[in-house]
Amino acid sequence: MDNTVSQEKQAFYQKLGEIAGAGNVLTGEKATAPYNVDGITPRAIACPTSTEQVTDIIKEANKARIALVPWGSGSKQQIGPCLEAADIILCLKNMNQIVELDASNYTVQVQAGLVNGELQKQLAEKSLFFPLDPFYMESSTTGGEIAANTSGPRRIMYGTVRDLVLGVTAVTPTGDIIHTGGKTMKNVAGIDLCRMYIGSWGTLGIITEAVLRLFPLSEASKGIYATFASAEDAFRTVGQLLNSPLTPSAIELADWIAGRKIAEAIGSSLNEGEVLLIVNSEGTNDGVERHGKDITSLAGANRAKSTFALADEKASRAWNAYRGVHEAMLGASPSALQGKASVPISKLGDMYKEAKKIGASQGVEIGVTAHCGSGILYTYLAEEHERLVRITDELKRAAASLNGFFLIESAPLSVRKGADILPPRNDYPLMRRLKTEFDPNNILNPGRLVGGLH
Amino acid sequence: MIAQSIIKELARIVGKKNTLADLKDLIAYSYDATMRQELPDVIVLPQSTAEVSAILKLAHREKIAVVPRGAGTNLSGGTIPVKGGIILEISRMNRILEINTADRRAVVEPGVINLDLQNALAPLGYFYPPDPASQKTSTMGGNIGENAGGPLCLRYGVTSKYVFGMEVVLADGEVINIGDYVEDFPGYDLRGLFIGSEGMLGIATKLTLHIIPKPEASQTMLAIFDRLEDCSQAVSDIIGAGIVPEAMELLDQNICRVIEQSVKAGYPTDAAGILLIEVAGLADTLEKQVQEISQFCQKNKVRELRIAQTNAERDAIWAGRRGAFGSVARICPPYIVCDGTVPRDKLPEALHKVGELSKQYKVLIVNVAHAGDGNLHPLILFDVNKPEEQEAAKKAGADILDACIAMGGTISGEHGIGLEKMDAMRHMFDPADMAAMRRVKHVFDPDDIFNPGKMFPPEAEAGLPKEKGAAR
Amino acid sequence: MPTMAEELEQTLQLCNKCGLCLPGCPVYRVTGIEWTSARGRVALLRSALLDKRLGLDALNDPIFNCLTCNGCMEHCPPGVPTGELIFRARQELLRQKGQPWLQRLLFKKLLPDSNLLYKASRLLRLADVTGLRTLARKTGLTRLIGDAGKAEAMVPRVPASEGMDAVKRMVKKIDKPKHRAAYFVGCYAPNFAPETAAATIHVLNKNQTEVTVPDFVCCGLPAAGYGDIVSARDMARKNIEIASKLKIDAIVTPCASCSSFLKDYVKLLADDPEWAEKAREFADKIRDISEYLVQIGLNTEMGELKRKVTFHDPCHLSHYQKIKDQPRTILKSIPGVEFVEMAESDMCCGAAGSYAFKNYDLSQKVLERKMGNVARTGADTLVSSCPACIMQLSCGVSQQKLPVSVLEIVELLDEAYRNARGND
Repeated sequence: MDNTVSQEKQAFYQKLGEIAGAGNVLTGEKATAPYNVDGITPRAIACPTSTEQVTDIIKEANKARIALVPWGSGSKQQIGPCLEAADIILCLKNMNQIVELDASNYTVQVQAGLVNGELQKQLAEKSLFFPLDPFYMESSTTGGEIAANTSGPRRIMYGTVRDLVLGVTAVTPTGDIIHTGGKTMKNVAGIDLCRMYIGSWGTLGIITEAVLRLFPLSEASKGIYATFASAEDAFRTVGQLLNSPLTPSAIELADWIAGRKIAEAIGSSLNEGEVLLIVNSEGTNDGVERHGKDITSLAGANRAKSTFALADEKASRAWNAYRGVHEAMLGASPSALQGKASVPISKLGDMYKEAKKIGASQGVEIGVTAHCGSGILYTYLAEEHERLVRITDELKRAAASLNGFFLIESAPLSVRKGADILPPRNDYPLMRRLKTEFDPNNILNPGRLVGGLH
Repeated sequence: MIAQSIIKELARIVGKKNTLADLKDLIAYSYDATMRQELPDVIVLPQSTAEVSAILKLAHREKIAVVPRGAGTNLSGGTIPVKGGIILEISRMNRILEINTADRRAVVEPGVINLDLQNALAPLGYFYPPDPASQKTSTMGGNIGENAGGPLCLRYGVTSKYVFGMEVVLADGEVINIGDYVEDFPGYDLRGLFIGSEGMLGIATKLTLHIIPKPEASQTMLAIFDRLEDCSQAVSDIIGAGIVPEAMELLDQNICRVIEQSVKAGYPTDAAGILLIEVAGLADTLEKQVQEISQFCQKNKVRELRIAQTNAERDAIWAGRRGAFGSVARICPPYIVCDGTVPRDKLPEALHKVGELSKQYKVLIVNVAHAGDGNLHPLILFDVNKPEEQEAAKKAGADILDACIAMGGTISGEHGIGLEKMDAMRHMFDPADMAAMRRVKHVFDPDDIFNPGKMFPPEAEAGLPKEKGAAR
Repeated sequence: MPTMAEELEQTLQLCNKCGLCLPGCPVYRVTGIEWTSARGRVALLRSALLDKRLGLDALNDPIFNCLTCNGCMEHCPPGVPTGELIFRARQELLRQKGQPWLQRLLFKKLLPDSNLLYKASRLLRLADVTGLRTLARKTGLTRLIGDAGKAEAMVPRVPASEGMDAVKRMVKKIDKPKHRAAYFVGCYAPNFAPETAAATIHVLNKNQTEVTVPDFVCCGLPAAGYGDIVSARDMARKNIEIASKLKIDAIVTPCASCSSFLKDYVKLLADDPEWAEKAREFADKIRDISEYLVQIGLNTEMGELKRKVTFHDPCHLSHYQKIKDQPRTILKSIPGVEFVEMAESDMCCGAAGSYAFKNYDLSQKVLERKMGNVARTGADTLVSSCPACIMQLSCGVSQQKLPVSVLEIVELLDEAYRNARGND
């Protein structure tokens, strides 16, 4: 009954300022417009400053059946199925402190709203770093990265989010504060709830704090930038690299669309059909030295057109240029779509070919980057609705035929609304039960659950 | 007690030969590597997922407990059927189904023995890093149930990093696939929940594992110290400097003495503590690491640093460490082994505390530790014919775990909670934390079919919040 | 008199259930059933003797389907002597149940008397020559006696032979002997494989050893294996007595089971004050053929044999006597031989004496695993050093249709010596 619901909700909105703390609630069109999510403009933005405030908000929201949307920097708010409702944004930007930095034990406990880039700056002062490096880490929050399970190129050497987070403090949708995991690398006490929260897309609770695994800054680092006339040669190089005892810190590939500008920046060039392979290594001087030599000769043995070994300034510039590609491709147009394919590592070359074939058959330019050591490939394109739908369907089919999957990570709302995010899997019912158990009133990110609730 | 008709029905599923219900069978499956024993009602040895599913359907229908079991070498009571029921023995499902080095994956049945997998990978130049001490005998299914560790975890990480996907049979017999062969599967990390869940959420019937190339070279050293404090401080300094050895194991004087009685590893018997350190990686990078480690050892007044020059020397150094628990068993078969883990720089403090408790309770405690991860393994010895000694040993163990918690650590680094550490769960987790874990258990297994009576102290069951989720 | 429980209490308590023995147990490897492992068998013995939860008679299978290969002991940290516990349990079961007439016949009449044994073997030859044995097999008569009937097919056709008399006639005098050894012939060779006896004597002669063939009786292992420790001790005393009259440097045998049990006479008669010392003197002289040849310095004047050879370690050689290097040293010194190591080379082949006669299926399963390992070596020659193993392995090779010859090590050596230029 609309009226009753409205009344309870009204009461909540009135109380919100009190619960969330004075000055922590933003309302009004100007304030809420940037937080439009899936076509819904929220009623208010709450920015609590403590776990207790988060708990209070959630408890009250539960009573009033308010739809809450957890928010870090909003980098990944387009992932997954569209939200059914979004009443309040629960933004953690104000909870952005380092709680405890235990440098000698290589752990840091942070509040979820701390931006990754900011964390790295503070860690660098102690000669440490956190190896999670998604492309937009300068703006994404650690809590957001954990909830979205987003990793970056360094995953090949250091692991993904699931391997780098030792513990998580979360507030469940019914208002309980639970502490999962701990400070130690090895911890098998109880059920591993920490893993449960990683990648939960804000549907099982609000992550308020996390304990992260740190590493010392490396003595040296190097980037090998090699251009290849054919993607096949590049992928063969990757295969040989992966089959060796070398341990690079990144193995990235960019096609000529995504990699053109980077190639130019380093004094090379990428023609149509050519690809750029970037292999980073970091560690001790002699280790990096050896990596540089071996990777260069591998590239050469596989007909690399040009190979550049970059270090220091030059390497940072080129690497930042590569990292910026992601934003650049997305920001280029309002009809931009970015998707992620995950296929077996040995099939990445095939997925690349498929993506290019699909683009060609539809007369569309599809830009590609890839985390070559993980079987992950990103596609970037900008087209009108019909074409986007057709192409994503093709990409899904291609990935599935290689025993992988394709997921839309960012797209115009019209595409996302109509799309089946992923083919149904037989563990979705269990996921639904987990969601319903922890969030019986379905207040956190309703609709965001992969596979849907029904 | 379960009816004969049920046993007959089970025999129809797996075959009469694979259904064991004589008293001698029940006794044989009543124990693991701890000291508890409880009789199950029947043991079944299925050979396929379909059989496992049929067994669970039956168990679910009749509400009979099912205890998944590999080789029963766990050190926490995880496979002891405290509520009787069916022991689901997976040792017959022991095929390696696929090894694909280009994908860095191996697909195996849960009964494959860890070392057998390693031996299959070695000729290809690959390995599966988690190397628990039990690897000669323990199964991959068991390893996943306990989130097994081992010395190599220091550099490579734990089991949870090396299991990508699983086929799992749930409490009602439903077969699902969690995780994936490929990376970044979306949705909840059900496989992460499953790993280390001690057989309480379901039973894995197929495992997709992550394998990596072997390092190019390795170098093994033995560092000998006159004071335990110097030894553990050296650990701290080495790791603190950013060096990541492949393994860093600490052994105290007592355990060295015990080891040398059985395994002639050449360990000194008059040094307060020794460190087994192994570095691995590209051949040209090892020299420098060895030098740095050497310097840190010198800084901490190392008495002697032996660097293995040949494979034989390396093997001898490792033989001592790998024979540690066994050597203790030779002089004193019953012992309590603790598994508490502390942040690495608290290791000196933790070892000191263990020494204090040893004096306080008048029990002999010998120490081996995965020093690099702060994972202690104090072995508390007692005479099985003296109940008061066993009591004192138990108390000492409990106090050690409390101390670990107080230092910011955990009550179990790799062995699991099972029965042995149920009480200690209360000290580590508050009611809300345990309630959340119980909710997860409830979602997977609302009828408590799988391995009941483990992990959660009894009162946690009463604490289950009333607002449960919707029924299926 | 201590009870059996008191006698074994401390030993049984040595096991701390670590489970490291499991992978070393061939029966566990093929069944996956806990009580077929050492840990399981010890736990059951404990349950029966110390905890009194069930009688020893409820443990017939755990007590009798153990291969007693001692593979478990290679891995057992506290060193629980599971094999010994099993033997002891079998003695107790025998005492409780009494001895079947066939065993009485074998252990008290036939095995202690090589003449009678020979005569019995001629009866079996008669069954072969007349075709009766084949007939019984083909009409399924043999199936009436259960596993023994199935295992019967593994026993090869009995060859013509004149038993120990023939063996004695094989003895030659040699020029300038450096050593003098008594050849312990055993029960199998004179009656079923006289060519092994010939090869053994020839090989010893080639190694400057003068050979005598005393009238030893069965070493006693089969009796001990069935719990008849009394008969085993009787045979031991007989053999020790015979040996005491000899002037020899060593007592040599190519049968690993024999050499192992002969060395164990020390344990067997440890509690007999009259024989303990004599047993020790006796045991000190026992040598397995490979052990002996390497110890005296193997004569390497051999001809070439173009063979790809792999070696199966008999349990009684590797696990019991810890003799593993010597056979390999010998094989690698034969010119032309390419030696390839088999995986699980020291894992039991499933023969375990007459194990197959009571546990045919298990024996076959263990054999199957061994055959897989043999096939994977790509060898054309499978060598071992125990007649039971040779019989079992030959069966396996023929069942799996592997292109592999199965030979005793003495036979291969003999062949090599015969191939040398200017040979007799």
